[in-house]
Amino acid sequence: MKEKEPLKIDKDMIEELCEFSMLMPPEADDELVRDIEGLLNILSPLDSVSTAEAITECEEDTVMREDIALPYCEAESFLSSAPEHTDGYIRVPRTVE
Amino acid sequence: MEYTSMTLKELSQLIHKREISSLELTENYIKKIKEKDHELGAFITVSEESAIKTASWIDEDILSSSSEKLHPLVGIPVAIKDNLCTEGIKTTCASRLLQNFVPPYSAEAVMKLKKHGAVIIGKTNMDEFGMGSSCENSAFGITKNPLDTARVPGGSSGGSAAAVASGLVPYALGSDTGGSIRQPASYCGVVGMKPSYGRVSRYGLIAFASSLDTVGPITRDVISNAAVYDAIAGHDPKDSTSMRGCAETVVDKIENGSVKGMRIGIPFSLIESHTDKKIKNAVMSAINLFSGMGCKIIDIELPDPALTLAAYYAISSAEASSNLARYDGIRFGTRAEDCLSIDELYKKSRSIGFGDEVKRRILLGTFLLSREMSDRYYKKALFTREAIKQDFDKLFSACDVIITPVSPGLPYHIGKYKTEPSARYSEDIFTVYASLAGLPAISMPVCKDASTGLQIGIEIIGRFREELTVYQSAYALENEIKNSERRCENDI
Repeated sequence: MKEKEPLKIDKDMIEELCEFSMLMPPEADDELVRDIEGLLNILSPLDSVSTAEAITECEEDTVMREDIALPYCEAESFLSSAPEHTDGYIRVPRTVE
Repeated sequence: MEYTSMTLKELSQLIHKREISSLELTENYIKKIKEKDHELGAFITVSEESAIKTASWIDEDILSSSSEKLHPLVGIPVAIKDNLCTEGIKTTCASRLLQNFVPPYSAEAVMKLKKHGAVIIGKTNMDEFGMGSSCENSAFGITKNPLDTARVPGGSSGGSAAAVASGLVPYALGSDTGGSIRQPASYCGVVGMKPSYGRVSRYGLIAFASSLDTVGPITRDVISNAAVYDAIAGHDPKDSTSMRGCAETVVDKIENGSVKGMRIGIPFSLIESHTDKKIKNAVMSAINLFSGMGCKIIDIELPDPALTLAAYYAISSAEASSNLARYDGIRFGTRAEDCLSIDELYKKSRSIGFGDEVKRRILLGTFLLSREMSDRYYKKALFTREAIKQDFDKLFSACDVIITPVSPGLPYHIGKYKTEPSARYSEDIFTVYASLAGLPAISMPVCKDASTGLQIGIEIIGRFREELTVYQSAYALENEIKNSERRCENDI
């Protein structure tokens, strides 16, 4: 099996990951890049794992249902169960001042 | 009388004979914590007031009137790892983010101890959210190894192990995701049990990696460990992964069981290639003792250690990034000031609240769950985990228990991995097997290293749900070490 290239992480990718993870971008970017690359080195043995058999079995077993839209819940009846509502929205107590 | 070096069983006998009250015992331990814990940093919170109140209530309402047989935990103090919720007592997870969090309920394992009359004396230090194996990643300071304060106690349940080893408490609860009970127990020279996944309820355990997290006891000896295990094990409808049916009690069956004829699997080649000489000698001494008791020693091969470690870190980091997404500064925990938008509030609160190791794992987990990386790493890790489980099923058709070292070397010096945190992860190489396969595994001391005075432990892994066999073999070995005077003095 062909060896995959080891993953390279750069500062832009770290910033993107911080955005997805709801974290502020770090001050010491280089250090974090090095740390994450160290972690990815530990994960590199997974590159040699073949899941072809498992995936084929899954695909054979998976039967997809027809994608048909069915009536679910009318907004009116849903809102009628809420203690308070305005303009189609449920009103809840304020949590952030 | 010096109570603090006694085992749970010995203390229980004193309480039952009314030779000491729960209050006296509790005050004794609180005094010792006040005298010694500033050197160790094993506790984050000492719940003195509530402990004294509980102990007094036990003396007045239970011990003064009850004539029936009492549970062995009645009136005895316990320390709880600070990631298990305790009603009315701060539960910080060793994180700034939860530094003022007081849970409105107790974890199921804690509730069970309370129902059996345990006295909660305090909450122990740990690596933040259980991420780490040295107790250096805590927002409340480092815990030191009581056997050598220049070294780490292990982690993440390092505070619990250090507290038990130094006699600050007779027993403690810990949690184990990839070795967090077994490794600190080994580093501190005490007994730590990771039960089968689902055997002890996770309800109220603050989640790190939900498919791996377990709760278990840390004690000074095997019998005491089994008594605590019996108290906390069992089905809990509040935890959907909790094992169905009643858990078999083990403490009354351990002493009657014989290990003669037991088949013990040893991964000789893995031990040879991944441990230092002192650890090898310790494992060999345990093997010789088992052999002398009539056990059959079988050479086995465990799944690829590098791949196992990779699967563990992929799964645990992915689950951690998902589990820790709930800490947003809105509902509970640290909230950043002066934010102009909700996104800024989330980001600032999380950035202030989480420590560096937690942030690294969140970022790694987020990366692994991205579309491309999920196929490349995460799904393969799940596939590998299933393969490891199947490998262990096969191995257990040829042997009854498997013995491995707990760690490749002795406890390392504080700060060793500060500049290269990922290098520390290879220390988990022996403990992650039982975690991924969900198997019960105990860590117990087998010998003392003569040159450092540190204890060296081994790990005994059993079949899924077969905690009794694990305890029986650990108890037999513990007795053999005591009785035969063949305790290895590792002076290499």
